[in-house]
Amino acid sequence: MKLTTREMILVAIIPALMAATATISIPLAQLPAITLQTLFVFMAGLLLRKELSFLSMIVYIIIGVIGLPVFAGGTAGLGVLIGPTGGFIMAFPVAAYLTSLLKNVNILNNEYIKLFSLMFIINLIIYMIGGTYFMIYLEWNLISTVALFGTYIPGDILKIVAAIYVYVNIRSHVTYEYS
Amino acid sequence: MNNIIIGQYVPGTSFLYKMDPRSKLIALFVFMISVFIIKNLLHITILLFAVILILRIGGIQIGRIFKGLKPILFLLSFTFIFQLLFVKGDVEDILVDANVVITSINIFIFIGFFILWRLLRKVVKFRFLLFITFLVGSIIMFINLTPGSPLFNNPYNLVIYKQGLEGAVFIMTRLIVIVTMSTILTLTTKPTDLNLGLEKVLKPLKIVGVSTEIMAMIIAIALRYIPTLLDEANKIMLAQASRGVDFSEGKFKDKIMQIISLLVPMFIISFKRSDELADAMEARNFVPGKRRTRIHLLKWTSVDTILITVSLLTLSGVIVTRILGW
Repeated sequence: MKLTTREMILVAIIPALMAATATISIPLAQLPAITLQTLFVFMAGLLLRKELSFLSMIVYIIIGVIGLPVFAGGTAGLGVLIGPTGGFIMAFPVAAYLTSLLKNVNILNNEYIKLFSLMFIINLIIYMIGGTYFMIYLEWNLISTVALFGTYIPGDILKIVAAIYVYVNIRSHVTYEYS
Repeated sequence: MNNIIIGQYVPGTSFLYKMDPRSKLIALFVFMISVFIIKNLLHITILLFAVILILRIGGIQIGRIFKGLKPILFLLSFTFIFQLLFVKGDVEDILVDANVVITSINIFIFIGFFILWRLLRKVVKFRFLLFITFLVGSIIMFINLTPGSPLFNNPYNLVIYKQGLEGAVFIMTRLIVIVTMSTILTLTTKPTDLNLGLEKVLKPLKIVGVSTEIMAMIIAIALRYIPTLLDEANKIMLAQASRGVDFSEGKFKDKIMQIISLLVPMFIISFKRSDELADAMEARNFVPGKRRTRIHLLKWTSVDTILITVSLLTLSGVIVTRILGW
C-alpha cells in the first residue's frame, strides 16, 4: 500500500463528505426518502482510481463503527453494521471498486447511457449482496424481500442520474481520476 | 457548531474512561467471539446481566444504550415475531394453542383499543412498549372474548412452541448483548483515541500489506474534515435556499436539481481544500508511512490487564461449557 500525500487526502475526503451529508434526506411521496450514501459510493468510484475508491469506502465503514454518525439517517455504531441492513454497507467497497474498474470500458458510444446502465447494474449488485444478507439474517423469503427493497429503486435511479450529472459537471475541475 | 463533539462520546469519570483503548478493543473482540460460541439461553442471560452490571458501575445511562439499539429495534421485533410464529417443535412442547376469532362484537372493542392507543401515543414516553402492549392485548382479547357471531369462517389457529419462544428470546438477547458492548466502547472512548488504538491493535496486518499508520492518518484527516465540511454544507444549503431552492418539495425533476445544487459546490470546495492541505503537508515534509512521534501516548494500567484476563477467562469458560455440553 503505497500512497502519496495527495492520494491519502483524496481517500479521506469522500467519507468526510458522506458524514457531512448523512443527515440529509430528501422525501419522495409514498416512497422511502432518499439518503445520499450510494450516490457518494458512485462518486468515489467515478472520481478516484480503483484502489483508492475501495480504500475510501473501507475508511467510511471504520469511521461509522468507531461512533461517527455517517450511516443512513445519521446512525452509527457496530449495531448498524452487524444489523440486518449491514449487508448494504458491506457491499459499498465492492460497488465503488467495480464502478472505477468499469468506468473506462467502452461498450457503447453514448457515454451517458453507458454510465447509467453500468451504475444501475452495480446498484443491483449492492441490492443482491445486501438483500441476501438481509434474507439470511431474518430468514425472510425472496418475494417479501424484493417487495420491501423494490420501493427504493426509483430513488436510486434519481441518485444515479444526479451522480452522472455531478460527475460530468465537475470533471473539468478535478483531474485526479487517472493519477 | 464548533462546540459539538462529533460522535457518540459522552464525557465521564468512571473507570471505563480511564482505560486504554487498546485493551477495550481486544476485550470487545474476545467477548464477541464468546457471545457467538454460546448456544445456551441461560448462559447468554448471565452475560446480559454482567453487561448491565458494567453499565451500572461505569455510570452510563441506560437511555444512551437504547439510542444505539434504536436502528435495529423494528427489525429485532420483526425477527422475534417471525421466530415465535413459524418455528415448529414437538407436540408436547406446545405453550399456547388457541383460535383467534374475530366476531361482530369484539371487533368494536378492538377499535376502542386502537383509538386509545392513538390517543396515548402522544402522551406516553415509551411509545414502542405501548405499541407492543396494544398488540399483545388485542390478540389476547381476540382469543378469550368471543361473544357474537364470527365474521370469518376459518379462525386463525395460533400455536406457539417452546422452541420458538426460546429461539426468539435467544436471538434477541444475543443481539442486544453485542450492540450494548460495542456501544459502551464508543460511548466511553473518543474517536481519535479509538483510531489510535485501532492503529496499534491492528499492526500485525502489515503481513498482508496493509499499513495501519497510513490508514490511521487517513481516518484522522477524515475526522478533522467532518466539521469543516458540515459548515460548508450548511452554508451552501442556506445560499441555495436564498436563491429559491426548496429541499422538501417539488417534482421528480426538481428533486434531482436540488441534490445537484448541493453536491456540485460541495465537491469542488472539498477538492480545493484537499489540494491546499496536501500542499501544506508536503511543505512540512510529510512522508506517508514514515515513523512519527506523538503528543499523546497511550498508557497501559492494571485495570487493562484485569479486563483482558476477565475476557480471556470468559472465552475459555464458554468454550469448556460448549465442549462439555452443559
